[in-house]
Amino acid sequence: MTTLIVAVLLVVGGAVVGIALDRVRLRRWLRRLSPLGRSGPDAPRSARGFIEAAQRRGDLAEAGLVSAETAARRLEASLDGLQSGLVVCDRSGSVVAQNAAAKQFLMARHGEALVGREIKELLERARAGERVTTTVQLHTEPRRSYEVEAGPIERDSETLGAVALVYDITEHHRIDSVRRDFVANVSHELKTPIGALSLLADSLATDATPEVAARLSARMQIEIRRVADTIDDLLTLAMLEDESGRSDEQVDIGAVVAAAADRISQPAEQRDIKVIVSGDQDVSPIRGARRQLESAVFNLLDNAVKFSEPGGRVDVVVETHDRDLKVSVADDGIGIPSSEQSRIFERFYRVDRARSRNTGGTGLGLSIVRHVALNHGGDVNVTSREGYGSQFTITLPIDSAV
Amino acid sequence: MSEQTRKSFHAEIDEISDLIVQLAARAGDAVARATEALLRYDLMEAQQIIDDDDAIDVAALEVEERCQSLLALQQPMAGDLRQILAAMWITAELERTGGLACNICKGARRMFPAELPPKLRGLISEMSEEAIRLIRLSVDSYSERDAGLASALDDIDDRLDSLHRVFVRNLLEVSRSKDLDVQPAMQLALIARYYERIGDHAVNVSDRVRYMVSGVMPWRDKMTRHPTREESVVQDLPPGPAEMSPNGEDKAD
Repeated sequence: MTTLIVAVLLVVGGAVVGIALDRVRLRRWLRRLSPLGRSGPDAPRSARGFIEAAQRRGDLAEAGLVSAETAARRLEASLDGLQSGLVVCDRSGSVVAQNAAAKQFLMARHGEALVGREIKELLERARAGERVTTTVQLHTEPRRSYEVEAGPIERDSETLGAVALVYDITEHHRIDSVRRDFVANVSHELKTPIGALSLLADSLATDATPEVAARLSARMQIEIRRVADTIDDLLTLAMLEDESGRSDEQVDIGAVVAAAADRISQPAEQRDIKVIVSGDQDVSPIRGARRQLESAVFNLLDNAVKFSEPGGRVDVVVETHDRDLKVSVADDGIGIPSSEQSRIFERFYRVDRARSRNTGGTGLGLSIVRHVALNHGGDVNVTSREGYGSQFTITLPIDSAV
Repeated sequence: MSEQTRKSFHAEIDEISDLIVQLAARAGDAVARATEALLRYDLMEAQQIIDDDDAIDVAALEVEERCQSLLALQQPMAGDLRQILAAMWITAELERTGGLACNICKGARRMFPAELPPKLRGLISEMSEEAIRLIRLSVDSYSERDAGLASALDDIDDRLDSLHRVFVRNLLEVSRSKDLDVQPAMQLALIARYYERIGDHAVNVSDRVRYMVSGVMPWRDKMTRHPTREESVVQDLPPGPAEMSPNGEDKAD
């Protein structure tokens, strides 16, 4: 309904602009109506009155046109201000109005041209009286999803044309898939070890020799560790969400990085991976929560070591850029597909679920890193190329007061 | 041509241009989807892309038929004639690009369930991005009638060619280390070749744009240059299966 009202307004607006644009012709007509050349002092009184009245009417008409023009301009600006695209066509199918957002699609040269095509197709069907909706997904970068909706414009059961609206639903889609995957992933992470525990306990209960029992209980310990780690990480995340704005101490990031590097040194050695710390030696301290920051850097190092091939190398660099402090962790490991890079900070999100059983981890590490960075007024980002490695950078404002 | 006829002729040409831009958008989208299906081992999506290619073929046919009827009814000359001829040729190139996206999907099916080594995955992503960039640039040169950009495309395509060579080198290394069986390795070599061909089709589009704008026929120069180019390419390639032809039902590229 709103759509129709907007559409009709548009048509009316278009008409007003049409008249307004024809001002020159109107003025000429008014001049012809008021024969000023003939209005001398000896012109009959009635004729002068007529001329004055005509002039007054002319002035009024002109004032009316100016206000109509302003209204049309205001209407056009408002429609251009809309994020959704709007296209109106008349009964012959010619486009009579389109706002700025719609122009982007109708004049597009690349992926968006597909949305333009869909708009035209749907307008055709809407002119025939159909009310139609479709979704267009663009797979080339930047990947986006649009919904195109079209319906006829009718008055007194007569079709005057059609109107189409285009909404960007990329964000809706993203949130939908985050929600859907979260439920699937969380049940996978929690149920898998519990399922394994149940099976192991069953086997233990039925005639297990002492050797088999020892093996089974060792496996049970591993699964219990998994559940415990997941719960620990979940609690850490809950705490991080709760704690924003509490801890406030002077933190030396150099020391934080050194401590995290120290913690990772043993697992790194076991996998024959070198961890090299470099960069500014004495960066200014920031205000924040030391434990949180150390766990964030450790999580990045842990990932870098886990996803590197033996013999690989992990570089940790601490740098100051203007008023920002940057801690980057770069590896030469397997890398992350570009289509997954925007999702890896989600809770329990796994790029490769099959692999995650071997590498361990809870699927919460990067969520924790992001939360810590956000709690300190900063952020974390990733650049990666599959087969060549990844680089994670935590950016923290030096003046951050938590 | 009378004023009225000319007007409808140019309106028709504009519509054909729009259709070509849409066709290129579909072809580029198909390449992006095919890469995603390949890297995600998504056979359902691969099948969908192959099915959707019919729509690209139909759209290409529509452009061709409209061009034919314009030629027959209006008998254009000079620049107008070149525009229509270019539109027909460009359409064929874009239709082939869609076909190559299908070939990538078929390759993905043939090599299933072999896992792709990370380095090759990274290179496939890069080749795909580069191929899509070339399609976009060629469409830009067409829409803007930019002969300068069009003539640069051949050199811009060198990056995709060199990515292809790096891919083949890496593929040989991986195959030697026995991390990949012969069948998937063969399919990957073909898939890399499809991306490289998509780039070539984009360059062909730009050649037709140059013809449309200025009347030059760059492909004639290339034909005379061909033997020397071929030699240098063979020298650059690592030893191994440098030339392989598509097998089975794949359409010729």
